[in-house]
Amino acid sequence: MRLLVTANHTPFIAGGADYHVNGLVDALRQHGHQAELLRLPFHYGEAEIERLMAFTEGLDLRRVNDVDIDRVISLQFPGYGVNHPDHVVWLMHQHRACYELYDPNNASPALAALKPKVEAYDRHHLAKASRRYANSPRVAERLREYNGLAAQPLYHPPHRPERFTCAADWGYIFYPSRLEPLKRQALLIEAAAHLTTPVKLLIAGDGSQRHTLEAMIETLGVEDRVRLLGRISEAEKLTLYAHALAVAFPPFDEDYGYVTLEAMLSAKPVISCTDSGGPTAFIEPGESGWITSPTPEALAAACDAAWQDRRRTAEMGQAARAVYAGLDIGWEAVIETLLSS
Amino acid sequence: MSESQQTELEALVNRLRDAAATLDAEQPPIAPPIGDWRRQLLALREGLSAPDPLLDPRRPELAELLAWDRDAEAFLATLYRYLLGREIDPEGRDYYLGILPELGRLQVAALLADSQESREHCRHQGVELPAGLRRVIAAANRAGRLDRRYLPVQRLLTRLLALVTRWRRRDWRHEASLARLLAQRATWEQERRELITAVLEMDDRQNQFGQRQDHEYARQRSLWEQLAVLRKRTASGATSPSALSTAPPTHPATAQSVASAPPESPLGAGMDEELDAYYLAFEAAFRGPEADIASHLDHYRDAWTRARQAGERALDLGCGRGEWLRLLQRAGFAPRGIDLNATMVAHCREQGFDVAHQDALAALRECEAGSQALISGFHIAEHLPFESLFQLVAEAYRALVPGGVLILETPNPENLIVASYSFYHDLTHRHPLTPPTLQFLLRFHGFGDTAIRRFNPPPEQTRVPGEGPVVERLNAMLAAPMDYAVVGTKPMAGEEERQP
Repeated sequence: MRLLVTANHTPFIAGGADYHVNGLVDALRQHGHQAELLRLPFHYGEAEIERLMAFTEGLDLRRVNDVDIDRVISLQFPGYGVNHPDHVVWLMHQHRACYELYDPNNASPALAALKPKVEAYDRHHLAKASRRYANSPRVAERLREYNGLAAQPLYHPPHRPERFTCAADWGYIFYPSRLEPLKRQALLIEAAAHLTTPVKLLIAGDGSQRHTLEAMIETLGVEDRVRLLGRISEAEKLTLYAHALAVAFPPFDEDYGYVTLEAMLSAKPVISCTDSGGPTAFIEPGESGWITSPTPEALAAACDAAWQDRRRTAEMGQAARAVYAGLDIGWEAVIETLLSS
Repeated sequence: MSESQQTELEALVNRLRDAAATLDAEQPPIAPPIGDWRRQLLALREGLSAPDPLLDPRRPELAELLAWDRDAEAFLATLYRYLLGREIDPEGRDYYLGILPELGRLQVAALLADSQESREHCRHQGVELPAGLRRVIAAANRAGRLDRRYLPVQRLLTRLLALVTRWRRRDWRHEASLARLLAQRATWEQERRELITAVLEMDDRQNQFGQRQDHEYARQRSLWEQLAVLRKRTASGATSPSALSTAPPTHPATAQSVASAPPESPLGAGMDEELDAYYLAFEAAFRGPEADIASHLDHYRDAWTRARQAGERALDLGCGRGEWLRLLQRAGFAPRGIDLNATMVAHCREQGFDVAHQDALAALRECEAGSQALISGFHIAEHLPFESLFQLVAEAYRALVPGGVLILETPNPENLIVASYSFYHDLTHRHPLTPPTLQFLLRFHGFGDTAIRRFNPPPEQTRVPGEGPVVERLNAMLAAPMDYAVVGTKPMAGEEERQP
């Protein structure tokens, strides 16, 4: 099959999305298809976004330079607006600023003006898709909630899942993520002040919040509890997962979240929050992790619980690994689903 | 409290960084992304349905275009493909099939070749029409416009061309078949080359998978061993030490590098591992730290210098913690080690040495004759029953290249304390070997130059003070070097062999 995959391009900002997009194209090629990636330059700013929407809508990909395209697979806003009769959408996320992150009290007039346009765009183009899949149950839920459209969740594996292992727990809770407000490392640091057991918190990653979080650790006087590890290597990441007591993942309304899956692969229970979105679909509270209210006290209680009964915590980790194994997550299944007719 | 906890946190982070560093070195070989072979094979599959090729699409032969070895439809399809550069459409086919019986192939070919579309295609692609066809076109043009075919001159031309066709048709058919065969042969050769390349690439990948599988097997094996120990610990009800205690870190990667298929043990995996661990500790306590041994090994400088001239492959039997391997590596050898102790093997592999978990005799038997420049066994001879030692020397002789060197080091029973006491520290020792016995064994198997080297005199205070024959005699027995080695060289071709 001759396939075009559409996605966005934000120069020099690498993240999970890149891995997802490239992973899909690689997998398609490995299955013997001719697949190419069409990346649309995505710039923040309402005017830019509106221009890109109009441009994308105008693209006809049925036949490009006399070459027939058999199917288009779109992953992101606004790529799913391109025209093709056989258009499969596997939605990573919509333009979040206009949906779950939209706050009518603080929105700028430009954003307020953009919101109905984006909604109309999504309703129109996503409804037209020949089939709709979502990155995660949470993304599907949002699509139903905001646009009244159904989508089937379709999972893909994190990068090279076979590398994750479980080793003896060294008594700390691990949280790897970019240091950004939505990831809410701050919540975990505040929780450190409420801990009653000697459990430690190791936070890996870098980002805009680094200085804020460092200052926070100092103000709260929890230097003996929490450590910001900065950017870590892959080997360090694997080791940190392997020896963790549990993994904390308390972001705000995450789409999918590789952290949950990586923790499960490493046989570690996950501590997440009720409003964390993606992760909550994978965690069975009390069986393979904890889902607490998004408060420092509740998070601290979960961390203490993990420390107090470490045998039980290890069992929960094994349960998490079993859940992952049962989900049959792999590129094979993804390709089969996306290319079924 | 806070101060000590912060250092605890520091220690934890450092410990994790160390563990991660070992993991870095332990990464299994990763197969590169799938190569071009899949695309190559897919392209070949597409090519299966490709139309008949021309010998040279830029200079088609008249016979190839007339295609008398094919039916009328195939003839028209060929003309379209090579003169117009596209597949025939149904209208065109019906039209030309209609006029073909009347005009004949030659004239239809000329008609098509002279069309606007064909002239453009040929100019663009640099296609040169065959001379015969050009003459027909010229003749037809002289006769008037080709499509006004009811003109009498026109009819004359048609009849003439039919005549030529009747006369030449047989030859054209043969020429067309031959050209087609030759063109197909060229295509097949090209495809064969591509297939071979693809198969080779797949084979390469297969090898990578094989390596990866070996690695995974070793890893799995070590995980089983770890599991056995853990089960045993759980069964005996021992509690695990506090995760943050300052106990030396147990490297998670240590056991990952254990070799494949160690011999089955009647004692069970847990007991084996404990015995291995005992031996490692024993080595450290009784043979001295790694650094001391390394300086002792330096005594063999002349032996390895000689061996290095015979080649660079070296095999160390019972390599232990790998001190000798390190030395050989520095001396420019490509050393390999074997050891029966899985913990030692893991220890060596962690340092990046090529070490297998294997029995010494088996390892020697696997060596090709004349493949090794240096074979060494430090303190293994005294562990072996005589039959095994006998075969070991025989196999070592076979495996050595002429000029290669065998070193067997063992405790020296000339020293009375060694012979009667310290030899028995190690409960796996069998009996002391005297220097003349070991030397004789090497000579018997054909080693030419065999030398006895004595090392490690006991501390000065062991000596009986004073002078005189009795004191001297006593000191010869009490203060003789504690270890010795027989260093044998395999004679070069032409030198006398077997001189027991």
